[in-house]
Parts: sequence; C-alpha cells; structure tokens
Amino acid sequence: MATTTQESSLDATQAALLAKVQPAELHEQPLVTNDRDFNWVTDKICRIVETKTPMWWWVCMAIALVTASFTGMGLLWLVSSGVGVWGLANPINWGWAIVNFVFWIGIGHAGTLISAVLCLLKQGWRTSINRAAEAMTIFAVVCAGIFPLFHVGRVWFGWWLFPIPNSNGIWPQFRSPLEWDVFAVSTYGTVSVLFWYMGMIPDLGVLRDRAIQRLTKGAYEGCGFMTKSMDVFRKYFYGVAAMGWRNAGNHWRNYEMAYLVLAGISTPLVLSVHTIVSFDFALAVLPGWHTTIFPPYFVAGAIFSGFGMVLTLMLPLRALYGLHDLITQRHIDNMCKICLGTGSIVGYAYIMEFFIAWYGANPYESFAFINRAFGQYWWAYLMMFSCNVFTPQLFWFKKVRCNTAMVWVMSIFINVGMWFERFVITVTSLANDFMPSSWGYYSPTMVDILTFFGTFGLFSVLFLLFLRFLPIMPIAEVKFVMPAADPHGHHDEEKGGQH
Amino acid sequence: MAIDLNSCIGCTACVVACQSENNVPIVGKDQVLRGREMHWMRIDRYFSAEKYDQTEVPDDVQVSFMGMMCQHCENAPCEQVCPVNATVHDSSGLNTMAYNRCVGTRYCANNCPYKVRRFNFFDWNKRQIGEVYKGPLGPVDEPELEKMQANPNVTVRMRGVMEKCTFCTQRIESAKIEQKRLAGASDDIRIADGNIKVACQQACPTDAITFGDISDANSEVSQMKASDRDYSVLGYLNARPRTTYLARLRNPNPEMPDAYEKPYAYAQYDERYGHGSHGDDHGGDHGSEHVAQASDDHDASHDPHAAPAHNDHGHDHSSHSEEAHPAH
Repeated sequence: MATTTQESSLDATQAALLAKVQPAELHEQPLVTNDRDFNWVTDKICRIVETKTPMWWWVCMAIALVTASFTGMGLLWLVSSGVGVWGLANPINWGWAIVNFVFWIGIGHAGTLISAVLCLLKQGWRTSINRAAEAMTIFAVVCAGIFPLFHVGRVWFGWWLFPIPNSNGIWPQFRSPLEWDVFAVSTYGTVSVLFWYMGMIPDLGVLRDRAIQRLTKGAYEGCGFMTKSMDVFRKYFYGVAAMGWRNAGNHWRNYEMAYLVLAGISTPLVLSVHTIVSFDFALAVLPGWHTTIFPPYFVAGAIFSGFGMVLTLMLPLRALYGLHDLITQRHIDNMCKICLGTGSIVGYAYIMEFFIAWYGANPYESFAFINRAFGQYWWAYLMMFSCNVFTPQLFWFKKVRCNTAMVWVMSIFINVGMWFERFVITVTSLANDFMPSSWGYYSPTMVDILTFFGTFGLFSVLFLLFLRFLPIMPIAEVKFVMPAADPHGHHDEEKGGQH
Repeated sequence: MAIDLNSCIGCTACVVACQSENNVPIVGKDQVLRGREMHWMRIDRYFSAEKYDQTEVPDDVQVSFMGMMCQHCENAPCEQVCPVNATVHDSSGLNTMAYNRCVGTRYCANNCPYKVRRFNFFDWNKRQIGEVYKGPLGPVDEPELEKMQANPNVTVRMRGVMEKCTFCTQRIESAKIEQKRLAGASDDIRIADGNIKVACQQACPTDAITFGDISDANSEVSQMKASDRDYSVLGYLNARPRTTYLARLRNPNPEMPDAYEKPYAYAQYDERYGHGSHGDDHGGDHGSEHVAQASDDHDASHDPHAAPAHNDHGHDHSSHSEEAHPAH
C-alpha cells in the first residue's frame, strides 16, 4: 500500500542520510591490547614473582647495594664528625641535602596522583601503572625522609621535632614550616603505605592461592624454578600478607569502599604535601624564596618530575618483562601529555616570577632573579631552563611520544632539570641575599655528592625487591578495564566494535 | 643598642672583645676560607667613589664602616622558623638562643636577613683545628690552658648548634643580680643607665656603641635613638630590630677641586648609574671589599643591593621623605 511504500522509502532515505552524516566510529585504543583474556593477565603478573630471578635483576641489585652503601657511609661520617663535612657555610646553610629532600618528595607525588586522583577521576589507564607508581612514591618518601633528619646538626635530638614529651618539657614551635613538614611527610608516608598495601591484598591472595594450588597438584617435574619449597614459602609469606582474603563478595565490597576512602584521603595530600614543602621557602623573607607562586609551582613541578620518574622506571620494565600489552602506547601518550601539561605550568611559573620581580619594583627581588640567570650559578639556571621548559614541549609531537627510547631519555632530562630547579631556588637565594658582605658560593663536597647518589641506590634496592616479591600491577583493576570485561559484550576490532 | 656610624673607625676592637667575652671559637684558616668563621660580630665596609669601572681601585675611595651583630629584632624572622623553639624572645626584648634546645636545622640562619647567625659545623672546642674532618678518629684537643682562657660566665657550644650575639646576656644578668642584691628588700631593681657595659661597647675606643634601657626615656641609648640620623638596617622588612644605627654624615666642602654632586637617594643613584651595573658577585668572606658606584653623604649602607636601607631611613614610627636628610 501507499503508506508502506512511503514508510519504506522514508526508511531508505533516512538510512542513506544517516550513512552520510553519521560520524566515523572512533575506535578508542583498548587499555590491554592484543585481545588478551583474564587468565593471561593473571599469569603474566604472577609469573614475574613466581619464576626464576632474571640475571639482570642480580646485576642491578649488586650495583644498587654498592651505591646505597655510599649513603650509609656518608651519613655515618656526617653524624660522627659534623655537618661541616658537607659544603655548607655562611650564608648557604642549606645545600644539596634540602635540594635532595624536595627532589625525592616531589617524585613521590606522581604515584599518589596516579593512584588516588586518577582513581577518583575514573581514568582507566591508571590501572597498569598505579601499583608500581605507588611503590615508587613510598620508596621516594623513604629516600626523601633521610635528608631532613640527617641534615640537622644534632641528629640524635631529631625527635624533638615531634610533639611528644621530651627532656626540655616544651612543645615544638608550630609556626615553623619545618614543623609542618614533619606532619606532612609522616602523614604522606603513612597514608601511602596503607593505600598501597591495602590495594595489594587481593593480589597477594592470588599469589597465595596459586602457590597452594600448585602444592595441592604436586606436579613439579620440569617446572624450572617453581620448586615446591619456594611454593611453601610463598604460601606462608603471601598467606600472612593477604590477611585472610577470600575473594568473597563482601570482601570485594569492603575492599572497593576502603579503596575509595583511601583515594579520597590521598587526593588532598597530592596538593598539600608539596605545598607545605614549598612553605619551607615561601615563608622565609629571602628574595627569590618569599613568593606566593611557590605552592602551585612546586606541586606542578612535583607531578612533572614524578611522571618523569614513572616513565624512567616503566619503560625499561615494559621491555624487560614484556608488558607491552599492559602498558600500551596509550598509557605512554597519557603520561607524556601530563608531563607536557605540568611542564608548561612550570615554564609559566618561571616567566611569571621574572615578570613579578620586575613589576613589583622590589630591587632585591629583581636582583635575585637576574642573579639567578646571569650570576655565579648561571650554569645551573641554564640546565634547569633547558631541561624543564624546552624538553616537555617536544611531547606535542606524536612522533616523539611514540619513540620509546626518546621518551625515556627525555624523562631523565626532566628529572635532571627538576633537581637543578630546586638547586637554583635553594642555593642562589641563599648565596646572594640582602647583605653583600655575607655573600658566598656553595660547592658540594664528595660527601654531599655520594650521599645523594647513594639514595638512588637505596631507591633501586627497594624497587628491585618490590619487583621480585610483590605483584607489580593490580590484577583485578587491570581486568576491570580490559575489553573482555565490557559488560555490553566484547567485540574484536574487525567487527567494528559497535554495541 | 645604638651604633653611631660617624664615630666608628672600623678598628675591630669590638669584634675581638666579643670573641673573648663569649668564647667564640677559632676555626682555623681552612675553615675561614670555606666561609665558616664564627665571629658573632663583623665590620662591614662600604666603599664609595665618584667613578668605578671595576678595573682598578679609584683614587678617591671613601669607606664607611658598619658593625653588624644580632639586631635582636622584635619581629624576628629567625624566631618564626625555628621548629624546636630554640630561639625565643625574652621579656627584656632580647632574642635569646637556647643552645641545649637547638637541633641545628639552620633555618634561622637562612631566614636572618642580616646573616648574623653562626653555626657550629664541627666540634671547634673539642677537636684539634685542622683535624676536624677526622671526627671521632681525630685527636681530641682540650688543653687546660685554653680552657682557662675561656670566660667562665659563658658556655662553650658543641657542634650542631647555632649561636649569635646575645647582647652579652651574662653581663646583663650579673647587673640584674647585683642590682637586686643592692636593692635588698626594696623594690628598686631598675638598673641605672651605664651599669651594663656589653663587651663591644666596652672595647670601642670611640664610644660608637651605646647600650641600655630603651624603656627609660632618659637613658643615653634612648637619646641616641631619638636622633634624626637613627635608622634600622633593612627596615622595610618589618623585622623591627632593636639595634639601630646613626647615619654617617660627610660634609664635603663644595669648593674643593675634587668635589662632585652626590646623589641623595637610591632612585637618583639608579638613574645616574643604571640598575644592576654592579657586577661583583664574589662575596667571599664577610667584610670583604665591596665597591659601590655612587657615594651618598648621609648613609653608610649605600650598596645598590642594600639601598632601601638608606632609602627609607628605617624609622619604625614615621616616614621621612627622601629629601629630608641632614644637609651639608
């Protein structure tokens, strides 16, 4: 009939129209590529822990232990002889130690951002990197905490900074930013450890259960390193660590809730901890330190350097453990973009500082900034500027982002640049401040240098232990974001992925 | 305390007296070269000349001396940043240092704009000078004769603590004790002006340093501070130092052949010589030569980087215009 023909022709026209105006299907890159299934993910992550330790791990561990011993020896000499073994003098009373402290604490912030902030922002791509990044945070906080403790003249009285009863019967001075540091860093360390550990419990349960299964089955011939005795060790070690995780529904419900709560607590810490660290400088009267831009500037810089360190760690790991399907180009792209964003904020802050120094017409302030760029530490300023301002801008280009080797080299430049930024801030403002009769020049001594490089060794030792014994990715969280986990049905890419 | 820069001749007797009185340690040549000298007081020198092209010392150099010790600021930047309450303000207005509470974070020294605080980087009193880097493996050096040389009224500080000028608090306390003893049962414990003589004041051959009770309007120091020449160094920072300086006056005869027009204020200096033209950045040890490009006839600290000190006259209670300075 006429209506049907009309309707059918209408349908045909509509279909034809739709075909013209409908936008092209955007295939979002999956977060776990190559069409993997859940078992593959579990196996991949657990086998890192279960199989024989690779040779490169032993080599790296040996080097790391030797390097870490430098810190031990340096600190021993420092405490036994005096702060004078470092290069400090009037007027530069804070040198490498405080620079190193801010450097390490800043690095830690990326891990918390990935774990907590990106969790609350529902960014699925965080899942394959958050465990390792959070581990990086904790070990960075350990390395950082060494410095404010040991840089004091009388380390054995360092506990006086805590508000606990002491032999003088007096409280610490709560108006001091160093006192706030005590609270900020200890809170940060505590919450980070809790978050990291709690997040790991299901995975520790998996490792325990796999060990128990293998023990029950008992088939160990030809399994290489997966020996029975190791599995007995694993059963008890991971058994204790998993705290009775049963994979039950109510366990998962509690887990999810606890995870969100800890993510909520950690999120403000990303902003507050480095803000308080920046107050060490911003609350002083020195020109170059006494500026209100420091809190956002430091936080952006911290995230910038932290993501640089995440890239430095993740890219080799990806290659060594074959994690290309779990840490995909999309992950690297996103991390590079965050580096670009925060690096641009840091660059803006540099320019704004100069502008305000001129605009404010304070001769001390304008001198401080001109001195930074052209004075006795011009070389440090150049390092800082070139590494921090120019390097991340390369991340605009997809070609650069896809070149893993180049990204890795740039991530190292980022951290070098950020170390120099803290150096420039700390030392130039102290070396050339109000009274020229007190001006000086700070050079680090061997003890300074070795103590700092030793902390990289300490960090590496801890990180290598983490890689060897703990699950480096959250198995369940990765599974949540796989295409196979899509509740609307999983279509592979040939079918166009429409649902 | 008031220091008259007109009278100061830069003889450094005050520095030596302070060192003797307060058991300020000797650190040795190597450590002084590293910038770790422990003198609580220093004499800053500010040079001025008509022209300075940084290639040679000018013929007509003039020098101004400024003795710098802890300014005992009422709004002390150091007190605010000490995390353990080691440096606090006492009721008589002194910025006191509690050596046994100090853990040595050195934030106070960083925050002091005058850089008058000194940190004990090593055990200067316990270890032999020159062997300090050996730490506990080095020789212990506490000869009895040197110990006898020390002032028994003042402690010696161990490594890791900060020290600075205390306004000879031991002398203040002994004067207080003596006054209380003399007062007996009566209430008359106010110390008469001139009964406390701090070490630097006592040694000064020109009586440039005046110390006393500023709550007493009739005391000598109050009268000094009432002078028009009185100013605080870096007064704009609002630290309110209790040590103020009386500006140095020069009165050159305009009919002399080498007389030249000197700028009055920082703005005029800047206009004339340009900002940032001073390129000598090597601070070295304190009190090192530091040549300014303009000469001012009404102030000592006319270095371009410290200029606002003379710019605002540092009066806490009034603002004088820049032109209202003693005419020549």
